[in-house]
Formats: sequence, structure tokens, C-alpha cells
Amino acid sequence: MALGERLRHARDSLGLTLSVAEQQTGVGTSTLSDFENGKREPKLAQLKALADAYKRPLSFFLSEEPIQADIVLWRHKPESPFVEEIQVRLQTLAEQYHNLELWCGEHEPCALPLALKPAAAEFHYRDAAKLAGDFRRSFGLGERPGQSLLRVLEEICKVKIFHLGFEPTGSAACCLSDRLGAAILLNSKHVRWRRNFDLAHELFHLLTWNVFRSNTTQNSVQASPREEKLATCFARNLLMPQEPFRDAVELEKGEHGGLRFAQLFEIARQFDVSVEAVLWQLGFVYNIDSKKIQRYSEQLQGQTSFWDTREHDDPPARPLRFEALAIQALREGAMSVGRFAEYVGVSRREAMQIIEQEAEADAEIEVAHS
Amino acid sequence: MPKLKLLILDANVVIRLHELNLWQTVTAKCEVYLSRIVIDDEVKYYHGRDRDQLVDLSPDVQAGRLHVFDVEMDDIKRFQDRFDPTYVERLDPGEAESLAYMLRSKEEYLISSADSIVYKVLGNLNMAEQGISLEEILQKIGHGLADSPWQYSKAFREKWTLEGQRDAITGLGDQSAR
Repeated sequence: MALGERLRHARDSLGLTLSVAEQQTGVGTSTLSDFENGKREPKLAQLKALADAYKRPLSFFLSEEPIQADIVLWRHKPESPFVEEIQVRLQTLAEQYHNLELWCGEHEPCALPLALKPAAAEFHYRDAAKLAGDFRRSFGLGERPGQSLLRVLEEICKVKIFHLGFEPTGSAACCLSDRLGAAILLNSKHVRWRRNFDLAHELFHLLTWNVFRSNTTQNSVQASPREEKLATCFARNLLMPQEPFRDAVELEKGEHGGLRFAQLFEIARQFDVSVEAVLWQLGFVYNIDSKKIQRYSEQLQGQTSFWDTREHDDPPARPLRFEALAIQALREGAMSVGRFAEYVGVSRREAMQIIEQEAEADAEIEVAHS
Repeated sequence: MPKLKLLILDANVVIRLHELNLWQTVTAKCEVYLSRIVIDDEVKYYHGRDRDQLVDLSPDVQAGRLHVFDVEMDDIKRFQDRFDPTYVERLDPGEAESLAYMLRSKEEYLISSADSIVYKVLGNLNMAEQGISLEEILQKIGHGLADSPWQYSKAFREKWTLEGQRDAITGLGDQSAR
């Protein structure tokens, strides 16, 4: 695709008019129009200004390959214009992560065991529950999967997991492509136990991508209500596997066979999920009427801040492995200081300070044979 | 002492010279060229003694102490065509602009950087003699470079230039001969 078409595509992706683009870049609307129509080409400095405004890397505009229209699947999609910016940001981060893997010679394909059956119309709750159990056992997540799910997905399954803050709405998204692999985006403004559930939910979509997405061609889609319910069922069963969950409940039950709010929160802390998720899993495992569960959930709303003593954390935007690869690439002369600064989100001067602290040569630590 | 001619500096070197309080000395004793992107986007501030200080190069440009260049898309495409396409993404845009300018020019510019990848590219393109470290620049104009990180040293330049030359032998990087 020619440069002009790429410029128009990038501007359209963000929903920007030519006037707004002019305000952000200082390049006049008639000049922008000439660039997009191929009548003139920008100088590199102008192209850089446009790339910054359109939140794309320069290399995007210099490529002649067809643009990959990756599908981004949202759980709760943010409103426009936020959603367009966030999607471009997600794709840029995934592209950067992919570049780092290539530059460091550490590219490994996505290791998720993708499901191919049953077909979408025949996929039921029992299949979602089974998929959760199989995944938990295959990857050794143990009896409290919420404690380790993020690390396992990042380090073993090579899923690229990012955290961005989006307001006022929106929760999580995922995408899967042959070139960039699997990526999940979580909302850093949400508390960790909610993000855990979103993570498990998005994992279901990735595992069943070829079941539910095989005929989809839109750039950004939303799963059907049925698929969403299956994803929720998967997430509950993954994070609160039935046997360990039942054991935890039995241990916490009082003399009268019930659970008080404090005990619900205790179980939620153990499994690192929300109290609401615990309630719904209780309903499922102990066959409690859903109207009752709904009532308990409404009663809980006023109690959460009193009983739930967990503090909100601040997750990093980029995974630890991303940052480690960036430092490796910088040390091996595979990327510039300025590019490193952009990738890890620091200033150029801060990046210079990081590399200036590096030793002249890597010292090797001798490991003696036992 | 004759001026050191045709000297392209990348952003890291410009910043470091400000921190060493040697920027005016270098622009007085050398014919300095900076890419448009380095001036507009990449040189923002340096670490002053007490706090960060903004860098404003416009007085130097207006007074003719600096020459500014920019490149057309054809130049950058020509540069990109010489390499694995990911090389443009690995470089700062200012570095890509500077290297593309050097490739298209009939004059033999010298380029100074604190980035290993710039010297790798020079080694890869068989242009090793057109790299110069900040240490070497300061020696040529009668100054030393005490207590600076080794990214500004001759040894750093030589190491990474050699890496680029090794890559060329093994077929990495420059694709023009293929």
C-alpha cells in the first residue's frame, strides 16, 4: 500500500479530520490532502510529525506490504474516540514486542493450545468447564490459578499482556494473529482481582479463536452474549476449580452451614478474584438459585469497602519480559537509545543514563560443575 | 587549527556536549550539521548541575553556527532498500535521517554518535572511516574527554564498527550486494 493510502488509513483509524490533524501536526490541510492523494511526498521530518500524531511507528508508513487488519475482540468496548486510540496503541505495543523478540533472536511462536472443536453452535458450558480444567492441568496452575495465571501466560505461553488505563468505560481486549501472536489488553484502572477475571475471560477467547472467529472480517468485533457467557463460565472454572473451591468453602463454613461476608472475602482473597465471582461460583457448585445469588450480590455492594482489605496495585504497562528484551537489544547494539526510550516509555535522557551505567564489557559469572 | 569539517552529530552527542559545557566550543571549531528531526524532536533537555535544562538550538541555527538538513522520502527509501527493513525501526528517526543524508551526499561527512547501532551500520556499509567518536572530536580540537561514559569513546566506536563489518561478512544488514 502506497504512502498516501497509509497516511489516510492511519488518520481514519483514529477518526481524525484533516482539520484536527492540521492542529496536531502543524501540516496544513491542503498539504495533508496532497500527501494522502499521492500528489506530493512529505519530507522525513514531516512524516515523523504525522507518525507521532497518528500514534504509529515511522516504519508503518515506509512499508509497502498490505496493511494487516487484525481483529481486536473487546469484552466491554470503550466509547469512541477512545477505542480507536487504544486499539492503535495495543497494535503498536504488540508490534514493538514482536520487534524486540526478533532483534534479540528470542522469537517463539504463541504456545497456547488452540481449540478447534466443538463447532461454535455446539459449544456448551460443559465444554468451557472442561477447557478450563484441561488448561489448568496442562500448565500446572495448581489449586489457586489466579496467583500464577499472568506469569504462566506471559512466560510459558508467550502471550503479550499489556495494561493501559482507559476511562470512563472498557475492560479488556484480545487479538490473535499469525504474525504477532496472541495479545491481551487489561485495564490498569481496575483492581487486580477484577483484572484476573478479565485475563481468564480473554484467555477463553484466545483458546477458542478458531472456533468463534473463523469467518469474521471486521476490524473490531464484540463476541455474542452466548460466547460471553461461555467465557465467564470458563473464567470461573479456571480461577476457582471446583474441588479446591469446595474444600475452601467447607473450611470456612460456620456451625450453621453458612458463610458470612468476612468468610466470602477470605475465599476471594485466596483465589484472587472478586467476592461477586465467589458468589456466582458458589451458586454453580452448590446449585443455589440464581435469584438468591443476585440478592446476596446486591447486599454485598455496601459491604465491600468494609470487608475487602486488599489494596489496588499499579500494574506496569509493559510485561517484564518486554522490558528485559528491550535492555538486551540496547546492550547488543540492536536498537538505538532513542528507540529504547520510546519502547519503554522513558525520556531520551533517562535512557542515556541507563546505557551509560552499563559496564564496558559483560562480565561472565563462572558456574562451577558440581 | 583548521575547522573539523562536515561533522554530523546525533542527539545523544549534542546533549552530552551541553552537559560538558563544550557545545559552543565545538560549534566554533567544527562545521556542524544536524538533521531537522534531531533539532526539532530529539534534543530536548540535558542534565544541568542542579536541574534539567532545556536545549534551544534556534540561536545557533539563526547565527549560522549550525547547518540543518532534511531528507526526501526517496533518500530514506534508498537507505531502507540497502538493509533489512527492520533497520529503520531500530534507529532513531534522526539517525536514519543522518545516515540517509550521508549515503546520498557526494561529500564525505563524519558522523558522531553514542549509539552502537549507528557504528554497526557504518561498518556494515563499508563506511567505517566516516564514524568519529566524541572523544576523537575533542582530541582533534584540543580537548580531553575525562570521566565520560565509554559510549563516547574511540574504543566504543571501534568495537561496534567491527561488529557491523562482521555482520556484512555473514550476510546480515546491507542487502545491496544481493
